[in-house]
Amino acid sequence: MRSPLAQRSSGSIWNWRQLSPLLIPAALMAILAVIEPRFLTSANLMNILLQASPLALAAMGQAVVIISGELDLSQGSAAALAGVIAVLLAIETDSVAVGWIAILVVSVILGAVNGFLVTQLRIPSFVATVGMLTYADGMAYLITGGLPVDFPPDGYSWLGRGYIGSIPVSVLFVAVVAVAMHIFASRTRAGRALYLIGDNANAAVIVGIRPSRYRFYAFLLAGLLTGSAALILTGRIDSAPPTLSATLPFEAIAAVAIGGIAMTGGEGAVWRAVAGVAPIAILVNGLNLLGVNTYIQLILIGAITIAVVALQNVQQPIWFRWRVFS
Amino acid sequence: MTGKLRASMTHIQGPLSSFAMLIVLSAGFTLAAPEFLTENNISNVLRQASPLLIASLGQMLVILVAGIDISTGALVAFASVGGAVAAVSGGAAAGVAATVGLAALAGTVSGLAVSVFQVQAVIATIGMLGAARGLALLISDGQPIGNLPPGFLDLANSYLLGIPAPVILAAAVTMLVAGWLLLTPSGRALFAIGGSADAARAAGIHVRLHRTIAYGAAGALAGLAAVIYTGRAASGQPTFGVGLEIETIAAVVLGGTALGGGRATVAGTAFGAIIVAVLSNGMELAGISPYIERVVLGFALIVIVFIDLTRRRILENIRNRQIAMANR
Repeated sequence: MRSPLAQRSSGSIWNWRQLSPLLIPAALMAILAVIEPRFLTSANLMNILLQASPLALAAMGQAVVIISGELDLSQGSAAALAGVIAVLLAIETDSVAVGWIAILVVSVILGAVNGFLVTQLRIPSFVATVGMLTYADGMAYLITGGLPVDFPPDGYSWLGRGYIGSIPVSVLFVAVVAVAMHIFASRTRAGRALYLIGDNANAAVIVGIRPSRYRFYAFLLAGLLTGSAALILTGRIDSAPPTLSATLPFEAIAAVAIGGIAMTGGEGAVWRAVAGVAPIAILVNGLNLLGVNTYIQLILIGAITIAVVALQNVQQPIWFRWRVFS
Repeated sequence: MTGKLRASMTHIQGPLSSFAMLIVLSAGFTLAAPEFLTENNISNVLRQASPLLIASLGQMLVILVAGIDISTGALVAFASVGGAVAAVSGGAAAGVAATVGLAALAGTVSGLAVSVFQVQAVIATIGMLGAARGLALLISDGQPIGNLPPGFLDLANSYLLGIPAPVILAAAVTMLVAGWLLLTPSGRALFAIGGSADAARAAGIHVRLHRTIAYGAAGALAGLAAVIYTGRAASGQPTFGVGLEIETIAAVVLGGTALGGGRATVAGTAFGAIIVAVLSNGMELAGISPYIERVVLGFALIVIVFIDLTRRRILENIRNRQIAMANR
């Protein structure tokens, strides 16, 4: 007989939250492979990876912030503003390097402002980042007058459009970043500190870890990852519209939730954010192949987010009580 | 005696300070643009403020039960489009009923996710944001839905005794919400839940039910705001309400309602909504671009919340010190 407490803690890997990031994409792929012959081709699968790469970066940034117990709703307009400034600077100086550095620097600065507002002024993160969203959005429109800016110099779009052999550069980039992020979160002092802070900030203070400091780092890192997502997004279309990707934080939060990272913070490996991107990318690709109206994507992603988080909180869904796996 | 007086002072402090801010702001805009303080423009500001006020009261209910509603703007778009379709085929009454009903339904779904399934308010309402905005775009195919029956438009555009109908509607809704919160057991229950859900449960309050009611009511109020927006534009539009959640949160906090639940002031929220409307009207009159308006709004939200939190922390420090002195 196990005690109720032992049952509650997820000692076994066979529980819903652990499995959902694997089960959902597998089920989706199986369904799509049956009903749409064009789905399971190598060209299309590569296409899915390509489409998913900016979201994977943004989702990892969101994951780090969520693990530390906060939330970043400003990713979309921060990416747009960074893209606008970077492309304009790249055109002005006719230098790709300036553009790339600018997009990362601007994103990190915006992340630092978020972090400052949340940790130093102690404003709740959803308010601070919603304020930042509005501010960055307004700035992006103000700078461009609402229109996409001109083409950046040649070479700017290498990360978004280039290939090394037959593999897109952006996919390789995401793979490298994912490995680095995994090592950061699971092996470094700062990474482990984020989990402790998200789980129990008071305990972190007692063992000498300042929550505000590491939460600030989390926002910096999220800014950097959002910036690299913006670099791929602007590179792909070779332009920087102020409307770059308004739904980015929405999709990133969905990916984090579907991946099985606890929305309350302190729990869940970073790779889960990348895994959580898979069902979204597969779904979007499948719906496009089937010719379904793109608006349905928004509805489905929203509904899936709520459903998955709801299921996470119901510790074991009814059909898991059959103990199929234990 | 003095304790009682102080208690009632803190109760009206929120509305009082937001009212003072409104006066200062209006004086400033009058100096900058003389046409601000004309009868025509004041009526204009109040008309602009009325749907925002109604939606802000909904946001206040959700914040009161320690939640937050990020989906307000998307609910307005969804309700506007859905209601317009119903109005075209079923007439004005069906349109109004559908607008309010659809938003109330969506709000209730968020409420159930939060209260029954324990999804955090931000996550539940951000999911609802995507779903509602997507539904609005899907139903309308991204286009405004026009040809609405005249009766539907009257609600937003007619006058009663020289006062715009939306203003009267907003005033009536404010009274109703105030009456509900202050005079009925279910209204008082929302304060108890926001203060401490555990304590409320121990006191025999059905926490899940009342939480769901707060979100559902917030949805219905967003729907009512959508009726006014739709009537004013003479069409249901899937792009309505972008940024409305930010304006409503700003209005609620400006009014002196605490983020985090347990406290709310209806009059303060009303003043807060009018302040936000005055701000955008004044900037428009002063010839400032709408893009800068957004920049200012984002900045203002952060500043407003910061000032409110700082004020609260200082008050708490003073109180703690007084308690420490008394215990010595």
